This record gives sequence, C-alpha cells and structure tokens, in this order.
Amino acid sequence: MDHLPDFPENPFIPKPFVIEEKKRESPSVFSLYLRPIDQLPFYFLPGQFNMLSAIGGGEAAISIASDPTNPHILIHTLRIVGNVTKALSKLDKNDFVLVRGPYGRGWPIDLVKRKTLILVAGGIGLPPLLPLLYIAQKNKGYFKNLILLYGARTKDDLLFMPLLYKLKAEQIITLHVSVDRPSRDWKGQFGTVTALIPSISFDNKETFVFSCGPEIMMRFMARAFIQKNLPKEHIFFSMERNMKCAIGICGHCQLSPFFICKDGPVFPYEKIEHLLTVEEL
Amino acid sequence: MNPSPSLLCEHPFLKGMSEPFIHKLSAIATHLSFKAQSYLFVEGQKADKFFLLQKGLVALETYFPERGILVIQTVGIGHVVGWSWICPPFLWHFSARVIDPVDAFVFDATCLRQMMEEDPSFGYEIIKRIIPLMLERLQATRLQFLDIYGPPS
Repeated sequence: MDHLPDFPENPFIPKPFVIEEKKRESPSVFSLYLRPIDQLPFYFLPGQFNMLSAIGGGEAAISIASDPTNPHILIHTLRIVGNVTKALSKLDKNDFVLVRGPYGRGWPIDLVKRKTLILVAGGIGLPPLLPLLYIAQKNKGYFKNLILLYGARTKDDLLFMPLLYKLKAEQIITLHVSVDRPSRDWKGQFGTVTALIPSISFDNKETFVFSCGPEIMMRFMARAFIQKNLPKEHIFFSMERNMKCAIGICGHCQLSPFFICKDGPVFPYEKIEHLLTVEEL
Repeated sequence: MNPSPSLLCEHPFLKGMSEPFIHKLSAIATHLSFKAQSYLFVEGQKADKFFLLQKGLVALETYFPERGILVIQTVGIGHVVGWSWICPPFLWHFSARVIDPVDAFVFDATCLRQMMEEDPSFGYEIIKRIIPLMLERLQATRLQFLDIYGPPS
C-alpha cells in the first residue's frame, strides 16, 4: 500500500459533529450546519468535499458549501437522491453526523486572484462554488470581476437566492439566472445555463471559468466558452462519481487514469475533455 | 431615422462586416424602443421584420391549449430575434413578448431578402452569421429537452 497517502490518523475514522441548524432550501434540498464536537476549527479549501454519514446510514461524498474563513461552522447542502442522503435528511437539530475529510483537490483559487472569474452552476452544482462567493464577500477585490451564471430546472429549484441577490446588490457578483422549465410567475431568462454564455463579454486572457453541475451541462458549457475564444486551460470542472474511500484506494470513483476523490474533484477541462464522451466511464 | 453605420457595426451580430454591407443594412434599418409587455411580433402573422437587440429581454412564447401561453426561450442583449422571414411562408412561428424594455435595430425583412437575392455575396454573409445563432439555439433547445437538472434516474 505504498500509494496510500500519509495521514496523521486513520483516515477511515470519522469525527462526530452536531447539527446546529437544518434548513430546507427547496423541496428536495436541505442544508446542515455542523459544529465539531471537539470544538477544533475545521479548515478546508473551496471545492473540497467530506464523507458524511448518519450513524448506521452509510456514507456519501458531499461538497463543502461553507465559508472557508469561518472554520467553526461546516455547511453541507444535500439533495435527497439515495439511502444515505435520505437518512441524513431525517436528522434534526442536535443530532449527530459523522464526518471524514476534507478530501480532494479544490478550485485553483491562487490562479484566479485579481482575475475575472465566471462561475457556472447548474442545479445542485451551486453549493461547491459557494465558498468562492464567501471569499469574494470577505476579501473585496480578491477577484477582478466575479460573474455567476446559474441555472436550475424551475424557479422553485433555485437555491440560495437571498444570498445571491444580496451579493448582487453589494456589487460583489454579476448575476445571470436562468430556469429550464417555464412557469407563469418567472420573469427572468428561460433555457439552460449554457444559453446565458453568448450574451456575456470578457477578456479571454484574464478570465477563468469554474463550473459545477450535470456533466453534460459542463461539456456544452466548455464548448460555448471555447467558441468565444476562451483558452481551454482556463476552464475547470468539479466532477462527481460514486466515492467510497475518498483517498484513492477503492477505485469506485475511477475515471480512466484518475481517481475523482484524490486527483479531483476539480479538474482542468483540458485534462479530462477526452474522457467526457466515453461511454460507461 | 436610420441608425448610422458606425452604430450598427457595434452590434455583435454585425461585428467585422464590410463597410459596403453595413451601409446596405443601414438603409433599411430603424432604431426602435419597445415597452415591457409589448410584442415585437405575434405568431401566425407575416414575418416582415428582423430584430437585433441592443438592450432588454424578449420571451419567445406560444399558446398551448389548456395550459395557456408558454415561454419557450428568452433572448437578450446582442442577440437576433426572428428568422421566420428567411423561409417561406414567411410567417412568425412564435410570438415575441418584451420582458425588459427593449432597444433594437429593426430591419425591413422583405427588403433584406430581396437584397440578399440580388447580391449573393451579401446574402451569404448574412446567412453565415445567422446559421451559428440557429445552431446555438438548436443546441440550447436540445439541452432543455434533455432535462439536465432533473433528478437522477
């Protein structure tokens, strides 16, 4: 096991956290605000993830959605899609959650310092990008411009809108929102998030794109930016696969030569472009 | 009043177009504003105009029996609205309702079609610019059809 990373402790032993708050974000999405029982600060990099479990309910990889400058509260936003997230959804305030992490490579934030950063989020893909919004809020001027293109299925599926409108009002972000399914009370843009790309203008040399959402959305998103002459190496994806060990041993999250948990979840588009259209990968 | 060629060539759709072509377009263009909730055109009516949006947001919509008016897509700044004037029977396939007040360059599509017929190099230049937009809209519609944000199966 010479490829096993050098962990100070057994990487499979989780730490207990207590739920300080549980928030319903949409009919199928909720957030857990967690505080470590040992009161020690929990540091992470934007884009990293944790393995979360309800006691006896199995583990799932969930990206971290909290403010990286506040290591005392850990926030995870989850969509109920399987047994683990269903078990976690049944927990309430003061219940315990087991956490292993943080794991993986996050967003290359040093690369985008004082640059224009375009975040492209689709559906439940927004939470892994939230730490970047908190960085922008706490360190005004960290990014030259921060643009968020956000798409969801319906108006009711849009997450964190009060926060996004607040950041827009404070001129921290430029916000473009689009929904995919028409409803009479929606007055904004219709269509998938990729349809927002042709309308925005940017300086190709000074602009980077970070994206998280359905893989097919990210694929088309990258093509739309490349069509606007953005260099491929300026585009980064956060990928998702079924992660189990989270440290690159078990192979559940293998994507050809990569382990999403260890080599990702954030990848330069250039590195994985050729793998995105391969069936069954 | 016709918009000046220098103003026209700023629009993303016309960027890089040769001066003589821009002058041709300028001769059949007007600069108009539309209030929110007004219509640029209505489904089934004669498609005799071509719009380049400078400002605002437009919803393309259709009537769906028992469900009322449904929005198919929205189109914003820098975009083209309406290409039913290119192909017979030259009738609008959808209605275009203004969501956010619009400023647009509006072209007489009947004249434009005639100019494209008479000068194929001009016609080719217009078609070359319209086809990528059509492709872009087709891709967007396909993605919408895929329901990419839907729950995993």
